[in-house]
Amino acid sequence: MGETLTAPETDDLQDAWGRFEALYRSSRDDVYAYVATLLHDRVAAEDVTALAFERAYRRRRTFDRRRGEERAWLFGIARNAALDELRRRRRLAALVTDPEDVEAAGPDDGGDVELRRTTVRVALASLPARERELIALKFHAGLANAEVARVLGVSESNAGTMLHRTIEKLRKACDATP
Amino acid sequence: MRPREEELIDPEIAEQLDAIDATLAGDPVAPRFAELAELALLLSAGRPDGPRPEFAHELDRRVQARFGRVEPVAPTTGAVKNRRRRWSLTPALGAAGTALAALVVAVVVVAGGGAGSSSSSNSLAVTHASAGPRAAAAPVRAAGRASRPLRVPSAGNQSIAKAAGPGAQSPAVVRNAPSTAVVRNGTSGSGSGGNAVYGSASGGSAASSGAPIRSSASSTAASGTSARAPVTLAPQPIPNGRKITQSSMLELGAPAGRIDTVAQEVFDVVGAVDGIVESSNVSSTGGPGAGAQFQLRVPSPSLPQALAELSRLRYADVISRTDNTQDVNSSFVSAQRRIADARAALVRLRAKLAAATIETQIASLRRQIASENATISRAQASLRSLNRQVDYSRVDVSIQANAGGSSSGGGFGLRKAGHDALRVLEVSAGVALIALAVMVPIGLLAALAWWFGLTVRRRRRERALDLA
Repeated sequence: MGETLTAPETDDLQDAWGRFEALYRSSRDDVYAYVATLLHDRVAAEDVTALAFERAYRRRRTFDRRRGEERAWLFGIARNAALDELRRRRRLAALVTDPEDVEAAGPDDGGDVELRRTTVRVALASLPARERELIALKFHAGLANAEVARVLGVSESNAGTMLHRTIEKLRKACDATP
Repeated sequence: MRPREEELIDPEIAEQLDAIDATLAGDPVAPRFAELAELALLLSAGRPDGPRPEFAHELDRRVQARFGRVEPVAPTTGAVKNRRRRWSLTPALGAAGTALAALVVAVVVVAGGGAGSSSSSNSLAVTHASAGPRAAAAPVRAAGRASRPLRVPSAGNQSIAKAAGPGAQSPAVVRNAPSTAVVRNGTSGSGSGGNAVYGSASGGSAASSGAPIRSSASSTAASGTSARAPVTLAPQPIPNGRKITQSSMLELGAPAGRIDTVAQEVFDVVGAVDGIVESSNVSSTGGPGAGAQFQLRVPSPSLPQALAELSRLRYADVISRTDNTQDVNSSFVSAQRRIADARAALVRLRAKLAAATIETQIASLRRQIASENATISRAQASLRSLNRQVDYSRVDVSIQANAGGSSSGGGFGLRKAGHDALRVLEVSAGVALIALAVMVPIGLLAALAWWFGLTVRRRRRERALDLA
């Protein structure tokens, strides 16, 4: 029997609500970061983040602990919402390009570190969307490999292999960047 | 211990993944992973900044309100919202539609099954054909079902032995009939007839000996109890132009105090189908000796209706029913041939008579002509008799008083209540079965459509990511 976030009894309801709230507190910024990386649009990322949490709240009874942790379940919902948004935008106009990250290029950073950040950012932008998503899940959302696998619907070993391959690709892209 | 899946990963890759995890957790890593650790930190540092404070505040507020009465913020996702509502309504609409369809089908089937021929039982006024040369026409008025004095019109040789002793009954069972279908209330509860096979002719008159094919169908209803037998339509031979006679024997059980009423209903049914009561014998002792016998003639096309009506008389239950058919085509053809031959002989004899001059020869020819005329008359009588047997089917009805029956046998009792309860369960199970038969395919189709829709949606999403 799958464990749900709510139960008919009042205590269980409170407990379930507390767990959802804790999930929200611990994951809000991570979800936003992941979605923002995927969409390259902060406003849309906010909308999708809100939508993802609302969906998660509405569907909390469908959560089954046997199929993974709550964070992975939540990021699965967020991913679907983000992809729906991508589809909608693709119908309306060409994908918005990655906005200039002004804050990341702040003048206070040391020149060497800033250079390396820029190199990584450029190399990351050169990767296909699927690999950028993998990086976002791992490094921006902070998911464990098992959670990444759950979100993407692949096995954990497969997710690890994909992540390793993407890192290698990124390293080569960094080396190739002048 | 690592999960088993990860054992499939190359050890070097696993070490690198561990180094990345350690770096992100702030733990030291081996020097050979320093470059990888730096890349991990740079990637982690490239994480987008958090949402705007006003958005975070608004979302906090909505979460606290549990997304209740607050409209979603997302102004750019109107399409997503509409789609969500549509999808959330789909299962409910599908379930409602399926249930409605099942209900309609069940009602139609149940209503259709019960329609039968019950509408004509009480409607006709009278009419009675004097069809047979032997049986006097017995006009029977259709009467109500309430108990009332028997109104039995001038049936041929009927007799009513009211308040007579048991010996007053005269058995009215006729045993003949080569092709026979028997429906007998046997053992348990329900049963809807069986099958009966009739010998249908293979072309040529030589084969038309009416070879009987015996068939039987048995239903399963409580034997000798007051359980009302399911009404089964009499098996009918396939109309193929051959001359077939049909007859049935119906054995009914009724409370002793209801024999009169049941007998009256029998008359009503016969009147309703323009049938003839050839003879009847009703004995109403009010005790176990009560009973009645009828010999009826019913127009063959109305035989199924008559049997159906007789099988659902208000206070009588079917104990057994035997249906017989006999192919008399060969007799019919034979009589026709005899007539044709005799007429041909008559023509020849009359020609000879016209040419004859000798007295003895003339006398001989006249005797032969008389003989041929007699042959023609006999054959024509035979034909008429056969036609009458074909056109009017014989139905023998025997009504027996139920053991332990009383005048209140038609009333409400534990046995009747049990029977009614069983019947209700039976009908309910039937309706449920029909509903299931409707819902299962629809459910499978719905599941298939749902799976297909899900797959298409997933692929579209993945394609959107590929195109991003």
